[in-house]
Amino acid sequence: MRWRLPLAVFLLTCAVSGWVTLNAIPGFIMGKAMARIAATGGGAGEVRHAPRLTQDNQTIVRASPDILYSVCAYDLSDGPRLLTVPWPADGNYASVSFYDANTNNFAVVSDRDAEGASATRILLQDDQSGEATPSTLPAHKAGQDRLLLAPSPGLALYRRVIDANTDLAVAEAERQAFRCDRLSDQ
Amino acid sequence: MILRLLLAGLAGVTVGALAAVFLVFGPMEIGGIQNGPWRTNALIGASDAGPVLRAIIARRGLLALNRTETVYFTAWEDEQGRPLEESCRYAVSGQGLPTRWWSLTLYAEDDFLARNGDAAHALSETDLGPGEWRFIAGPQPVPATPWLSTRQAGRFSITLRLYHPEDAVREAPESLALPRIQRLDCGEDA
Repeated sequence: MRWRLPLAVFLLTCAVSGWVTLNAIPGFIMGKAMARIAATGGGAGEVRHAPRLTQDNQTIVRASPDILYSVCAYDLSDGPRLLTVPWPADGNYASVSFYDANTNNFAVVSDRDAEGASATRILLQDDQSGEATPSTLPAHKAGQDRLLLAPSPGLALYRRVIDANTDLAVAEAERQAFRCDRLSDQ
Repeated sequence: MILRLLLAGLAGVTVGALAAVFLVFGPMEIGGIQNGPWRTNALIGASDAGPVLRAIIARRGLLALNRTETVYFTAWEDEQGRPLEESCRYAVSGQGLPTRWWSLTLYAEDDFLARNGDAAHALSETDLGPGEWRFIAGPQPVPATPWLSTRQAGRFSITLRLYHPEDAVREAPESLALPRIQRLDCGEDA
């Protein structure tokens, strides 16, 4: 009898602690990954263009050596972002995928969605606000501009497949057009 | 009594946290659907993955794409259920897959590319062709045969990525004709 209450406390705190830890791990790993990403690469605006993956420059588990990665860690609390996403001229796969701070992949836009356009612009806006629309963008093109309501902070990851037939210099130049600008800077 | 309750609470917090860490960082795999030596999980990249799976994926497959974009299959074993070992040679063979493009990447035991200086980590449809193909995964290259290096990889794994897969891949991943992984020899013989 005298152990019944301590046992109940043990089981309850064990379950709560385990649950809290499990839910905290993705955010912890994501935070470390974002810090490592910020410490590598470089590029215009807020985008980091990771060098082509080799055994010596790995920052993320199970990254693919067949892909060029560029990444933008964004915070929408200071206003919307305008992403410019270039699509490969050689027809290889490319996409930009969006992750929240808990690692959830909440949206993807790929070259398949571009319907032949050479680039897509994505207006990234806090899902709690609604201040801008694609039609207000400079040089707006209906059908090529998209609005994405997103949790903040988050991460936009651009992938571009490279293979044995890829002209790496061309691919590298193309992906430098991936931008993640503050709309207020436009 | 109060001291006993405090100790029980402290022990509970510690054991709960350690159990969660072991669950995620221990030997547990992503699980999901099995197809020969290959495994995939329909919840990779999805926001409705539970906390355990999400934590395991954050550790072993951070920033994965969702299944409309890419389906991932990973093999930690050969087709007879034996762990993949760096000192063994494997014949990996297959044929065209119902997807826009595919690639195979060999990861070391720590989930990174093996640090072996061989620059032989991945092969793709572009390298192996759209029809029937075969390559060797092993510690030494084989003349005139495509090769993935297992040196310094420990108990390694191979990940198959299918980009823009056809509906059949997502709907029936357990019945796809996926590559075979046959162990040829090990150790001195390899």
